[in-house]
Order: sequence, then structure tokens, then C-alpha cells
Amino acid sequence: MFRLPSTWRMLICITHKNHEAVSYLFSIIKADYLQRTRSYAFLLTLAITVYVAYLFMPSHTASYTTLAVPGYKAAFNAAWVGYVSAIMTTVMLSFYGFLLVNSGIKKDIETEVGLIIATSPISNFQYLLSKHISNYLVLLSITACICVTSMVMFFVRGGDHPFILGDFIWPYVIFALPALFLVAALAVVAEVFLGKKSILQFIIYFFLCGAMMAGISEANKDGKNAIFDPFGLSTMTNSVKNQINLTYKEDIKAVSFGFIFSKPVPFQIFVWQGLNWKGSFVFSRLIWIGLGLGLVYFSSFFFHRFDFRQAPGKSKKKRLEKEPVVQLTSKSAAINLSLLPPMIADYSILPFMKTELLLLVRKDNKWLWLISGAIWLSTIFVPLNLAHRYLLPVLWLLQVNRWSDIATREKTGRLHYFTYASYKPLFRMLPAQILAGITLAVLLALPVLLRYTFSLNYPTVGYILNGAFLVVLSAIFLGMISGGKKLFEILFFLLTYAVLNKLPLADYLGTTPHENHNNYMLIIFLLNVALASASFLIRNYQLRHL
Amino acid sequence: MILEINNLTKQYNKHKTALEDYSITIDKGILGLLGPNGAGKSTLMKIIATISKPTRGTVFLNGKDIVKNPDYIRKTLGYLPQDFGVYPNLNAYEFLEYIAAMKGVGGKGLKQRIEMLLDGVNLMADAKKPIGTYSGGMKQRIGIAQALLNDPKVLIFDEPTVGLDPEERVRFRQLITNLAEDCIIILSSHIISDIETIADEVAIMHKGKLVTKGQLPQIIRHAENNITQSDVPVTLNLEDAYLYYTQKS
Repeated sequence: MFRLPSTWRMLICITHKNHEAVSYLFSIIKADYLQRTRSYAFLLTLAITVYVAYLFMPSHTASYTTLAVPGYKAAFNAAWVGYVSAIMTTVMLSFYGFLLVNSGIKKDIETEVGLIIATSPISNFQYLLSKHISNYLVLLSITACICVTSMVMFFVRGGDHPFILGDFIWPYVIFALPALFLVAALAVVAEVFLGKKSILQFIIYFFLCGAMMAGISEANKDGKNAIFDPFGLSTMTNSVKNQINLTYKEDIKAVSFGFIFSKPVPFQIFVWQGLNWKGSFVFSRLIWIGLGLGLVYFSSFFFHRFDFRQAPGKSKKKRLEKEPVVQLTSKSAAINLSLLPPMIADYSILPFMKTELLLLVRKDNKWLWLISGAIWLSTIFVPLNLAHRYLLPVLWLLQVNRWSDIATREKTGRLHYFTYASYKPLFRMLPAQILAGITLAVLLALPVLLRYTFSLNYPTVGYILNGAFLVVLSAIFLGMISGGKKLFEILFFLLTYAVLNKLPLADYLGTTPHENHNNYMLIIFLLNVALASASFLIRNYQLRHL
Repeated sequence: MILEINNLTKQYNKHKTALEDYSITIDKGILGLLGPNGAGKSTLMKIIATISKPTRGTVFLNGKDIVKNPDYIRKTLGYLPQDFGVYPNLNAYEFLEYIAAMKGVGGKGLKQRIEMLLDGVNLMADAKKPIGTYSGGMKQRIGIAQALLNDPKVLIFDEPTVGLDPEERVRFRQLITNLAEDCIIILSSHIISDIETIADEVAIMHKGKLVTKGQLPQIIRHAENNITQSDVPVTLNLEDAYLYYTQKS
């Protein structure tokens, strides 16, 4: 009988096994991707994405620009619309995309699916790779949505310039795809090493991104170090700068990037024809992709595989082991309701507020309170302007995890069966949650508020209080409509980012002086009323439709 | 104290009807709900607990429509859902204080009330530990304690003995037997022996409909009479009777 040589048999076996592994991996990725995208939160994210993609391409008369050269504005040809939207997507999504996808493993812990996964033959690397690719697919879906919107924007703004498909495809492929691959990998790595410490993950990630952005703009002024720029931003800005300098004999040193607001000034239209891709630059994108894969592979050696007793730094679990579960004894008392003290009715919301505040305070680790405490103390001593403009937004941002699930934690904790069946939940529970959230915000802002009060600057006090309501009511409203906390977290992060960058439109704290202070305060107040009304209506519906 | 449910229908979508034209009258005492998965037991309990609205039909408690006026029952309702959660960062005492606030129970006696309930469910020694560290059975006992916080007149227990050890199950049975004297207690369980031991009446549900309701001996006798083919009498227990009714419908 004919028998294949053993090496051949082994090879066939390995190929077969690999085929099986790929098939398993595909199923896991598919399920994970569908689980994440089949939600209202994702639908909302896409809706917001379309709007943001629209904002990427402001008209020449708009009060802001996204890629700005003083005194010049680009013609809306296919190259400009395609490349600018691609580079904006790459940078913006690299920032907030991390927030969007960095809970894949956490979800498996919460749903306890992780325990099933842990007992399956899938290797750590395969599991993490599946999470990585699933993260990546989520980001790619958003990218595809922006790409299509940018094509629509070309026809809206483009006039009689010809439509060139390659100008929309290539910048996305070469700028966005490798950068987002790395972002998806970093989200997995952050989850492996920092677990549930999501705030710490955000802080480290944004510090890293911020440092990278600063490094890129400093080191790549001459455009020679573009391969070290994961976003590809410097390649784009240098090309635009060089073309204007060459064509119009200018000496422009830098091109601004981001949402930049400015007063209307005379400008000249220039035509930019896109980039000539260099082989070294394209190859450098592969290096970033390789780095992403390498990081995931490296982290697989440290992955807990849902075995928290062996995971380092789990002192809580160790403490648990020492505490024996109390055994039932027949001596324990029986319940006799007639022996209980008489029941006294008390329908006030104060006891709720107390517990809600307690829940807010106990959320997150103590180290976060330490940082918050240090910033809070600083707001007493540093110049008031600095405390208001920078420290307060950061201090509030650090509490994002406390506020983000204020309206959804009942449901995620499966406590809503009790709360929804309680006496007048709409007018007792919800106001208590809102007031507890606002109390926390006000306590954190207290030094700033008191200093403004003592200096008789009451409008700014009003601004900050309005802002406190806005933050808490947004958390509640967005939590209710999305059913999760991510949407608020992302929007609050973007809002804080915009405030720190002095974007007047996002100035919900009154930190930047502008002409219509009072009108703006009124708009925020009305927005608060709308958010509160909508939240009450949604909760009223939820209460009876479990 | 009387709960009247008339022609109740709950339709989630075109293809899924959880309850269909369901009518039942429940008096003081313990009503055991039996039925296979998907029979509509939990949906019925949710509607009585006012957290789900029926598509059609009415639910009256002492003549008051609780679908339109849910707060009437909420004051005197004790509800233990099948799949409830807790706030892991709170300890048992704080958690019960929180639930008491929900139910509108306060005053000076609250502390003592909570302590007595915690003692009653054998959790006093662990009252100051975060609930996140509790075992499944301990959480279930917290659930039982919360249901009793407000001197309930209508008690709804959805699979209450899940996670309890045998000794604790016996204690639970004893507890609700004592409570049944002046309360309506609706209890669903897959453990037929629990129902058999404590229920005054049994209602068997299947595919969203009420198959039969009555006192235990009546239900069993009716099944026996129908199964008997010849002159040889058949002796059934509740489990046999349950199988007979669900397979027949």
C-alpha cells in the first residue's frame, strides 16, 4: 500500500490544522465584529462620523479650515478632497478610535464568555489577533463610511474638477489603513497590560499620541523623516507647503492641521495635485503594520487568559481567598415580618442621592482620586485663568468613567428589575442620579467657583454650573440612547480636547472670551433643558418596556 | 387582597407572543407557576411587577388597574427577578438601604429592619463586605431580603431557590409559608418539589396560555382521571401531572 513520506504527512496535517485555525479565527472575528457593530451605539457613531466627515471639507467661506496655509485655500479637486479627508480620518480616528475599540477583552470578561474561550484550544496569540482584527474591522467600517462621504463632498464642493477614484482610494490605503492597524493593536496591548484601568489607558495613549504629533511636526519640518510618522501627516503638509512656496515664491514654514477657526482674511486659490508615493514611504507603512502585529504577539505572552488568580496585582482576589464564605448554620435566625420595626414611609430622594454619590465616588481606583485630589488642590493655588481653562476640564475628564454609566449601570448590573419596579422611579431615581452627578461636578469645581464668586464674576460661575449640567445630562442622555457608555466617553473626550485647544464652538465652560458669551450660555442652558426632557421621556418609556 | 388578570396578551413582535389571552384570579396564599422554558412565566411576572406593559388586557389589584396606575402596587410589592444583579461596590447593608430608598422605606427603624432581615437570611456576618465578593447563593439571599423590605402584600419570586443550598431552600420554603397568611405570593420554579411542598394553588402554563389552575390534589386527580384507561387506577405526583398537562396542550 502506498504511504506518503512522514514529512509530507506532517505537512498536510499542519496545513489542515492551519486551515482549521484560520476557519476558527474567522468565525471568532466575525462574531466579535457583528457583536460590536449590531448596536445603536455603533449606528450613532456612524451618524456622527458622517457629520464629522462633512466638517472635514469646509467651504471657502466657512469660519474654519482643516488644513490651513495662511493666505491660501485649495481648490476642491479630487486630490485635495480625497487626501485631506484621508489624513483627517487617519489622525482623528487614531485618537478617538482607540476609545472606541479598547473594550473587546473587557466585554469577554463582563459577559463571562472569556471563561469559555479560556477552556478552548485557541492560543493566546490567536485570541488576541482575533480581537486585533475585529478592532481593525470596526475602524475600517468607520473609515469606509468617511471615504464614501468624502466622495459625496467632492460632488458638493468640487465644481467642474474631474472625479479621480484613485485620489480617494490611495490616500486611505496608504495613510489610514496602516495607522489604524497600529491603533487596533495598541488597543489590544493596552487591555492586556492595563486591564480594566481604562482611564489610565486613555491617559497613556493620548500622551503617546500627543507626544508623537509634537515629535512629527518638530522632526519632519524638512520632510526627511516621514517614515517615522505613523499618520503620514508630515508627508502631506510638506507637499502642500513646498508647492505653495515654489509656485508663489513664498517662505511658509508650517501648515496648520485640525479644526482651525479664524476671522475671514483675503486668500488665493491654489491647485494641489496629490502626492507621488515614494517606495520608501510605502514600505515604512508595512513596518508600522509589522510593529502592530509584533506588539500583539509580544502581549500574548502576558495575557491573563481570564485567569485572574494568577494575574499580577490582583490583591482583591487574594484577599477574597483568605475570607472564608460563611457557612449556613441551622442556628441562624428566621425572618418573621411581624417582628420587624414598623415600616415608615419615606419617599424623599435624598437617600438615593447619597447612594448614587457613594457609587460615583467608589468607582475607579484610588490612584485616580489621588491624581484628581492633586489637581483639585492645584485649582486653589494656581492662577485662576489656568485653573479654569486647563485644570478644570482635565479634572472633569478624569471622572469620565464615573459619569459615563450613570444612566446605564442599573441595566448593565441587572438591577433595573428593582429600580424600574420601585415607587415613582421616574421622579425619584432619575433626578437623584442627575443631582448626584452634578454634585460631584460642582464639588470638583468648587475652588474655581468660589474664586470666581469672590471676584464677583458671576457670569463665569453660571457658565461652569451650566457646563456641569451639560456634562451630566449628556452622559445620561447618550447612555440612554446608546445603551452603553462609549458614546459619551468619546464625545466628552473630543469636547475636552476642543476646549483645551480653545475651539470657541466647544467652549461649554466659558474659558475662551468671545463675542456672544451670554447667547452661548443661553444656548447651552436650552440644550440642557432639551437633554433633561429627552432623558425623562426615554426613561419613562424604558420603565414599562423591559 | 385579590389580583385579577383578564385577557392578558403580550406580543413582542409578529412572530413572538409571550402571553396569549391569559386570565387568572389570584387570592391570598402561594400560587406556584409551572411551565417549560418560554411558557411566559417571567413575562407574566414582569407585567404584574409593572416593568412590562401588556399589549392587551388588564391587571387589577383590589379593583385598581395597575397597568394604568403602577405606583399602587409598587408600594406593596416585593419582587425577586430571575436574573438580577447587584452593585458590587456596595456592601449588603448599603445595598438594602438603597433598595429601601427605592421602595420608599425610611425612618429610624430602617437600620434595625435591615439588620433583622440580614440576620434572617444569614448574612449579618458579611454585611460589611462588598457584595462583589459574595457567592451566588449569598447574592440570592440578598435578593430575598430586599423583596421583604417594605412589608410586601404582593410577592413575586422568579426562580427564587436557584443557587441556594438544600438547607437554605428549606428555610426559604418555611419563610414564604409564614408570609402567605396575608400576602399574595406568586412563585415560579423549575424545581417541582419546591412548588409541590409549599404552593396552595398551582397554575400550569404552556406557550403563553394557562393550561390549568387549581389546588394541587385537584390538578393531580384530574390528570389521573384522564390518564386512567382501564379500571386500574393510576397514581401520579405533580411532576407526572405537569408532564401530562404540558404534553396535552
